[in-house]
Amino acid sequence: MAKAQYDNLVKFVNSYVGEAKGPGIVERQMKHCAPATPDTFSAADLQKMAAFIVAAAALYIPDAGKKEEFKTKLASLPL
Amino acid sequence: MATEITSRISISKKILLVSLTFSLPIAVLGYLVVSNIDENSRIAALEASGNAYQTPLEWLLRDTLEHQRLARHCPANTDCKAQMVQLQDGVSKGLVALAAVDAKFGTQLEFTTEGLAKRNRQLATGDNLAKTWHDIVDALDKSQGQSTPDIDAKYADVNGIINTMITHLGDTSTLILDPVLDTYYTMDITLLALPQNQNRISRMIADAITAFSHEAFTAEDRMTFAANAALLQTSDIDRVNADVQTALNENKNDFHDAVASFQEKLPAGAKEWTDANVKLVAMTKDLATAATPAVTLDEYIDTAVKAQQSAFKFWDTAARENDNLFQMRVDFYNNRRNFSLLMAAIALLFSGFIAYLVTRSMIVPLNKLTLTLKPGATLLAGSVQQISEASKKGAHDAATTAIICEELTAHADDMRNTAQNLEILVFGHAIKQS
Repeated sequence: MAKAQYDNLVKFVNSYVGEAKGPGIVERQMKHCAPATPDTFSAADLQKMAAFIVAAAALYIPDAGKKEEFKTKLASLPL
Repeated sequence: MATEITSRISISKKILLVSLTFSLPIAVLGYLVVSNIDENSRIAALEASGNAYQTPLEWLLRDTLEHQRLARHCPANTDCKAQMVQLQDGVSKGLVALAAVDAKFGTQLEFTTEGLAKRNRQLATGDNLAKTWHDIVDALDKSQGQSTPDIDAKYADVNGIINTMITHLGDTSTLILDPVLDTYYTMDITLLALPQNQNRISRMIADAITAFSHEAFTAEDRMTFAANAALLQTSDIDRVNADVQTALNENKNDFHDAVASFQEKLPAGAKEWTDANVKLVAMTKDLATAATPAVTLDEYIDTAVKAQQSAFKFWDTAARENDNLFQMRVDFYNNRRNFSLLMAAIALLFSGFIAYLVTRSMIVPLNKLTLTLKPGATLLAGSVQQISEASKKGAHDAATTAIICEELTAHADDMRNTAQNLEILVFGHAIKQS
């Protein structure tokens, strides 16, 4: 179940930055919710790392409106 | 212009285009191979249609020669009128059968105005044959069934038309050029030797009628008997038996094993025909040399008629057996064509599969490169913008800087890996850095 939540997050990030970059962004920011791993990932972990994911993903999203949309949707991402 | 067009085509389509370019000459070669096979099959089928056309001509030859014989000489205790009426009925049926095969194969075998004119055989038509035959029937009605020199000339015309038609169908059906030994030697029997034998026996009967009309055989009669016996032996019996032997020996070939029916029926038919003809040869030789004839004219004619009938019977056997071999050859070529097409299709599928794998091995890393480069450009622009904004503000956000560094480092790693994959794709191996 936890892995599905992690995958759901990756899928969401992919939809904005592409499959080539999405998984790496999430993986690199996992350290902010340590000791969580993809297998133990939860909504609480997402809350801890959301700001970092937004900051990293924003580097790949040129459009300001899209950046804001990403931030909003991530905050209410159903996990 | 061409560069502009090709630059817009994706690499997978370009590879497909290259594959199709190389497939084109192979397709042309394949077409030529199949055409060649079809041509061989067509020739065998054409030969069979020649046999089909000759069949009613043989019936007509048999009945008209017999009709002529009875018109010339009616043996004792024979109801020749009734027999001649029966033969006329046979000729009528033969003409109907000839019209039917002409409708089916006439154009193919060039029994057309142009085809016949090209070979100076304009008179060799079914219509002309029917007309000349009806002239004979009308003339015999007027002469009360007795042959006259004029009627004999008409019989010769009928005989000439039939034989010319047989020659014509032999040429146009390519029977005369048969490329396979067993069917070639059987064709020599059906197209050339047996019609010659059938006609020769009629002439021998006519010669005998003339000789027996003399008080005693003249030296010329005896010479004619001797010549006829010698020709019948060498030109017919020896030739046909040599043909039969070669055909049997060569029956096992590329197209089939030795065919049981052919091996059984051809020699059996040949033996029956040979026995009847050998008897005629012996009797003719006797007439050439004996002081007084040992047989009467009717006995001689009876032997000759039996030999002639056996020739028509043997013709039927040989022609049917040859038809069977033609069909086997057609089947062989059809199977070879189907096999060739199947092999070509399998080869095409296999090469298509290999081309797909090769294309995929190129497309996947190239696609990855595209997916890496495009967001990489955005990343660089975004990073520069953030750094620039932070510099202007004079306040550096350590967390943001760390994220930028991480993403740039990750992107650099991606670029390095992608570049290495590209090197492998282009050169087959990664290039060592000096």
